Amino acid sequence: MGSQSNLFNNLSAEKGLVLEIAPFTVRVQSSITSFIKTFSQLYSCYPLKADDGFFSDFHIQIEKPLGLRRWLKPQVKFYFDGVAPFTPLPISQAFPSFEWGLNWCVANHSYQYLIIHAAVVEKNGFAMILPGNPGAGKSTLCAALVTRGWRLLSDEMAIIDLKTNELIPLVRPVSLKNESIDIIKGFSSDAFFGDRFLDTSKGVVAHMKAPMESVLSAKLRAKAAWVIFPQYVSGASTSFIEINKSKTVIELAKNSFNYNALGKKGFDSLCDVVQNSACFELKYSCLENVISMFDDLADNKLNA
Amino acid sequence: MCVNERVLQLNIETIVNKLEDEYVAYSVLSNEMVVLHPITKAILDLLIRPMNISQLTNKLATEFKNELELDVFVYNAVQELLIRGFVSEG
Amino acid sequence: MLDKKRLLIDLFVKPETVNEITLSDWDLLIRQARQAGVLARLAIFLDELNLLNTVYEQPRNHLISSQIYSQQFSRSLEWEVLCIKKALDKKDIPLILLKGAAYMENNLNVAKGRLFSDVDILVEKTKLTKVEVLLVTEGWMPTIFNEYDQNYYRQWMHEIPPLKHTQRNTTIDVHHNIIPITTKYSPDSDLLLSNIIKIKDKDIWVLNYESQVIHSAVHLFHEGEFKNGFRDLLDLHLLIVDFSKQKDFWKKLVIRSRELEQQIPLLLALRYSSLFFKTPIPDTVFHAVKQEAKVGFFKIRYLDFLFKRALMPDHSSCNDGWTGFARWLLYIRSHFLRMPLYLLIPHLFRKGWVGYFGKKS
Repeated sequence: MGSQSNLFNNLSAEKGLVLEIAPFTVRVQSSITSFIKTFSQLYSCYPLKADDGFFSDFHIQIEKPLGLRRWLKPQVKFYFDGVAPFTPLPISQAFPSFEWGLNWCVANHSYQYLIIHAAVVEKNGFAMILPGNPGAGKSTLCAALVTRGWRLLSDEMAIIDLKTNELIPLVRPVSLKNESIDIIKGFSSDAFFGDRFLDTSKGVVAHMKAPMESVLSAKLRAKAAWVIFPQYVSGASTSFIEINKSKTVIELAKNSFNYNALGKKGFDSLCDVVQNSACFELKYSCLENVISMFDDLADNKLNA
Repeated sequence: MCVNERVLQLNIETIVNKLEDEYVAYSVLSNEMVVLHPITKAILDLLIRPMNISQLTNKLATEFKNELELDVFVYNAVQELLIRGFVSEG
Repeated sequence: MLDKKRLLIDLFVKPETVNEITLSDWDLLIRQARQAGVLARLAIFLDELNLLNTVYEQPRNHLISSQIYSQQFSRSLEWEVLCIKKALDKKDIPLILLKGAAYMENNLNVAKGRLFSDVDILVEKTKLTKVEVLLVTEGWMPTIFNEYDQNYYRQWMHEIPPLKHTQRNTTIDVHHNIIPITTKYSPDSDLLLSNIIKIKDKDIWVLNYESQVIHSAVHLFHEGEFKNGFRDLLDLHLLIVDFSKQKDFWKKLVIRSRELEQQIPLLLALRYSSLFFKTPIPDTVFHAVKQEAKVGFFKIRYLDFLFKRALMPDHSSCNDGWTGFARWLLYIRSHFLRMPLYLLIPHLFRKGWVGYFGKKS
């Protein structure tokens, strides 16, 4: 652990650091101290690669843009191979900008996969896709499940291999907002959180570190057994209703980052995944209730 | 040329997948996807062979005899299917 | 050890050397290709030579990803052209395609893996209002509403402002020509002087091949910004290779450059295309164009200094100490050219536009 954290200091070297964030290899470079701190904490158990002789899928730099702003109200820019696709953010948001930026990299450069905006967790070898409308609470639910024995595949992207229709993990820190941060902290004392970032466009943001077991299993794929649309409603009792599969296909396509570019293969994979899953709409306010219900689902599936 | 005389046919690049008891169609030509109403599904099934709209409506009349204003539904459905690349004419 | 600057160029020119490229070379190559806008084109190029499956898995994923994206893009473009044709057919207006859509409908190699932003069509000036009304009826909407910008497009650009389709969200640019009153060259037949031709087996028209090459050359060599210079030069190379298979292409090319007074852009196109991509161009053609372009020894060396750098892929690994300066000089040059691009293009459409429309009426 000690030598690994020393290696993270290489982030500020000219060539940065090469990290395996399966299924991708990512080269990251930054001289911003706050970024180096949070990044080293949250990615501490990810395999590092030697500098040369490797292919990196994404070359990312998190740096202050040139110009007068350097001293007045410092900013940070996300650079993808030297080009900044987004407007700068305040420097305090350096780490979130990396997470958002990496999501963008994956979503825009991986047309060999069908990518849906959803969290994915797994138990007993079966994957659960939780598509996420903003504010629906998928990340909170995902984080809670992950602290109670479910494996984390992703909190943001369901990545489906078009050849096998399996879900490919992209294990990363779980991004939580506002009240959810304290809820999950209360839920599990083991959960490790990086720094809080205030005043982002989404409010207060913090990241829960992905459990080590999930990181170690990052190359283990799974087939989907359930597609569940969660909706947190304050004070609501748990309601779990089966929904129509054709409607699910349409909803998932709408929630997809890249479905429109995939043609016939995308359509067939999407139909296949939905056909082989049980599809539900979930309304809830009590996390414990939902987790125990999902645990039953996973056990029933195993024993079936 | 009167609308009714146009010969319609299912586009070979249209795919229909079954999901439980419903059908979803996808057009490779236009990249559009749609959940099919039972009558629309029947239209696509029939248009495997080319025919014009009156022949189509007549064939559907037996299966959907209780449908009010079937000819209006069929006309509108065919327009949509044409615009969205599921069916072609000529 | 391969020259890092030339990784991308050399792969296009000598694809059989793909096996010499190391994984860490690929790390650079993929980035060069992506920033140059030719990643999908490279993927398809290697695939057609059965070399794609010999590439290491990680870079191959990126090639395949871009290939998938561009395939869908092509299908969308085909559908768009079909929809436009359906609309124009309602009023018997011929569909004359320009640029990317024209390349695609003609199944040219230049269209494979190439992403174009809009569909451009050409319409007779007298039919312009009819076309505008027709398109709006069929679901297109204007995107520019203020009078000043509208005038700019209509008067200076000789286009109607771009129209966007409300359902498909695609954009169409409608260009028009001014029917010339007099002509310098008396026509022997429609075919000789009409500058549009019908695509084989389709009811769609495009500019004749020599005009397509010259227009492409003019676009590139009057440009101020060369972010896409490498890609556009590769376009030219691919167009020339395909078109030169046609009978009398070279002769017609030289004549057309004369008609349009664009011998210099043609010279530059031939020169740099062959320099970068080894385009097979007969010496006689080079000689003829050089004679007419009348570009002196020192001017050519100066232009070489600029273009040999500006036309490289726009990636830091392909630059040398002078690249920034060269690009800046070209930017200045574009402002001082005899006719800036925005006036030159409509001018090209007007010049020598005899034959087809004139004869028909």
